[in-house]
Amino acid sequence: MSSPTLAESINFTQEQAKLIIQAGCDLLESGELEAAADVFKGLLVINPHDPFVHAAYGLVLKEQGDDSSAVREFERAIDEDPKMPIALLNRGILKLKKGDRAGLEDLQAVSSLKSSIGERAREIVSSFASH
Amino acid sequence: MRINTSDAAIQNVPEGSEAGNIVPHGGQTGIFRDALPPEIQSTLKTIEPFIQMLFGTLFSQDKAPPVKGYPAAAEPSAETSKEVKKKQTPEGAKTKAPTSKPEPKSKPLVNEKPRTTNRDEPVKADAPKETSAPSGCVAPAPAPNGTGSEPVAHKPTLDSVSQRELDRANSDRDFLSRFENGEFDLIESRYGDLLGWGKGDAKLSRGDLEWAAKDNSLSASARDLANQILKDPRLFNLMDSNSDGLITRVEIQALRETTEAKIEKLEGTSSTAMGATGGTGGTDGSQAPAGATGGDRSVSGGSATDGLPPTTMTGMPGAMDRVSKGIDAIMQEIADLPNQGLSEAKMNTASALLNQRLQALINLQQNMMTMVSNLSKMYAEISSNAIRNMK
Repeated sequence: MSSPTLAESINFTQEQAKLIIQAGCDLLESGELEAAADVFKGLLVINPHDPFVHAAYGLVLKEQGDDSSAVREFERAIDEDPKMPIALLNRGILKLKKGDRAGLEDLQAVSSLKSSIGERAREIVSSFASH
Repeated sequence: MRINTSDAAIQNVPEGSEAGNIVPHGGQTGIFRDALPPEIQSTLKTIEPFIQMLFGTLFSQDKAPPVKGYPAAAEPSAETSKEVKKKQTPEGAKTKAPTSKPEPKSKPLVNEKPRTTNRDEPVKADAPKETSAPSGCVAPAPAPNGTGSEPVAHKPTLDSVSQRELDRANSDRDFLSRFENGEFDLIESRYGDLLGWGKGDAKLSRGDLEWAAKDNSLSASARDLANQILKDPRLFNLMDSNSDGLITRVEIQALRETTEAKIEKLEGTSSTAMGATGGTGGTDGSQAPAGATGGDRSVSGGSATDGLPPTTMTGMPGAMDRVSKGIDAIMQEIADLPNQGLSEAKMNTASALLNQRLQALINLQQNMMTMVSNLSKMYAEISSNAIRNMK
């Protein structure tokens, strides 16, 4: 049995986390990357198992240009939730950008989704298929 | 947009960069460029609507699946309610004073569902979701602990969608004034240099601009402009939301007029929302009403978040209180370390780790305090405007 997370110890709920993720992404979207990174790093201290936070932090790192760390965060997100679309899509894209065609597998895993994620994945996969 | 690889500039790829993508550190020079054809490079754009996508994932469901690591009981205890009601300022606030922060953001962030419409197309407002409190009743407290169960009399509740829009419009107006006053000194030819440096696309991504800022083949003024745009997210958004990438005085004036009209309309809207709707407290703050109009060309690039639940203070105090408790818990752990019977080496390692975690929580807390502070100012401004309009 794993030790309790800080979230469990201090009764920090998933809904509260969601609220702060929202605020952190507000920062991310407005380009305040360091502040957004601080928010997500703090949330990961509270609960290192939250795939959304890992994915969100991965997006910050990606925007900061730290692709390898971003991939690591997307991988952690996928470890926690193997079907997490946003993490799969981004990991796939980053792998492809490094010239690693294994990234296509990630994209194929989400290409059937009827969402902008699926749409984006299909676009990239078909672009590769035509070459 | 991707960079023309035949351009001399590309031969000067900074160490650790990939073609068309700015990688300030790390990265694999040239691998991507060599491995993939240019058509595919352009497919792998740097700037993506990933945030929307994330929130499409996170918030598309009314009931998010439980995530491991959080307490199983979503309902905080009654003790917590009282506790938070007693002190609105978390103890941890004294740990570190909040630092200065940019102006309040006008772009709330969370996506209810991924947006697929064109940025320039008006988006119909979704009807706000039903909240737990009936319309017209006393507004519930802003869910300080996530329950929203404590009624607070005499506390007007503003329509959060209007608040968000009004904030955005006000912020746009300020920004446009700065623009009109020549603060940004944007000259079309300078931006034209940047556009010409790209592949002639009308838009430059953040990655492109980062690259441009460092590209010595560009004129100093063009590099300076790239830096200027990067430093100001609103400027970037303005560029990004402009259909042809060129900003003219006439366009600014048109935007200004639209913004003024919007403010006028919204200020009226807000006043009617005062104390009349109530009920936005909801159950935990995360189910704030969705939907927004947006659609018209907002300087803030607000279309990216249209239809999203607004960032509100609702629920934030409760979350801040928990973070303060986390800080206390870690400080306690640090204090207890010497009693653990650990070797010096292990104690040093544990201490470093705990201090790192402590710092992360303090940083989180600081950011939350700044956000709440900014939102408070915004609420106060909206309230005073609304009251003025009611007179």
